[in-house]
Amino acid sequence: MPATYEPIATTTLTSPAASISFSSIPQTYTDLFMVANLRSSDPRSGGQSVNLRLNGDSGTNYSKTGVYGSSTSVGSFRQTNAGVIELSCTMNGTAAGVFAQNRVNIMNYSNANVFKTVLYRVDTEIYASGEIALYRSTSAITSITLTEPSSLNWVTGCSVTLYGIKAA
Amino acid sequence: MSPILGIIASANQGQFISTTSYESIATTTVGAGGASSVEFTSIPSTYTHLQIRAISRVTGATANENLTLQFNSDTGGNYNSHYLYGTGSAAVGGAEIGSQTTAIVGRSSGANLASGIFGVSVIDILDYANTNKFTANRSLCGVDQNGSGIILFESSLWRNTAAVTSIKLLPESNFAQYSSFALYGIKG
Repeated sequence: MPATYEPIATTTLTSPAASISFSSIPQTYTDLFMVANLRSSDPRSGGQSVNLRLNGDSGTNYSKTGVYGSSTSVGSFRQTNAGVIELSCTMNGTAAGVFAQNRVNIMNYSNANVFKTVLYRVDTEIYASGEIALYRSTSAITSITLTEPSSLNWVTGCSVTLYGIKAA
Repeated sequence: MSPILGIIASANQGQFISTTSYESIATTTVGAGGASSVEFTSIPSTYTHLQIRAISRVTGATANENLTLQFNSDTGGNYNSHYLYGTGSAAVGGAEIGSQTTAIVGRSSGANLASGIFGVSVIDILDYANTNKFTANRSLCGVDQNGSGIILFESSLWRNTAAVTSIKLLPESNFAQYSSFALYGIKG
């Protein structure tokens, strides 16, 4: 029997990789929590989106609403009928050592009575945001894939840890 | 020992670590008859913080509505809340100040949305047993419905120094079936 809050798997890149994935996710928890520290090989500076897909689903079955603040603005944004859930990464032209951090809750990920909702926070060197995404499927989540939107690589040092949280 | 399952990457560590500092205290899932409230009682004072992780839907004819709470059966005007939210087109700040009878801590989806859509809330109740201070909460919550929705940062205060021993979660209408509320304790 799993503990209440335990790591399922961790990936820390020792060389660049095109994607980071977790598959065969056990169905014995209630929620999943993922911490993803990401930096892209894109040579520009600043932030970039990250493509998160669940169960390898590339259909337009995702959407989200977010609120953000930066040093110059505050605002809200939305995506509708999207092919991915967008997280954030730092691009490689940014000062060394800077990685965007995404703290991602996938609530009731194995519950067949609900669509899957992803509640997360993003913190980068230039903005912070809170976001909520909907994956319009009642299927249990068995895999998570993170790819760079321009088909570039994740750099050495990117780390992603997946945790399972088990309710009584 | 749990196996390391299906990790695809150039490197992985996959260390199995068991921790007892974050424990499940109780879980309530609403049945077919719905519920006017959900309450956790006899909460042990042996933790430092509490966390509630919730998916919630209400029977009211709305897109979404507030999820609120009361501590220790206190129905008096002893609560205040502040929030920052985004609607997809605007970011808005606001507050429920003065003598409020509940704290706003989360968001539920309503009956106007497709049946599989639930609001989600992660609510942190900090230092809940510390009798030297009022109890403060923070939460991240929201509902997305593919074309509209809301995401909220919430904070609230219960102006009472008593240790929290019970938590009542309240909808504006009634909780619908499959709404689920899980209470966890975090040791310091």
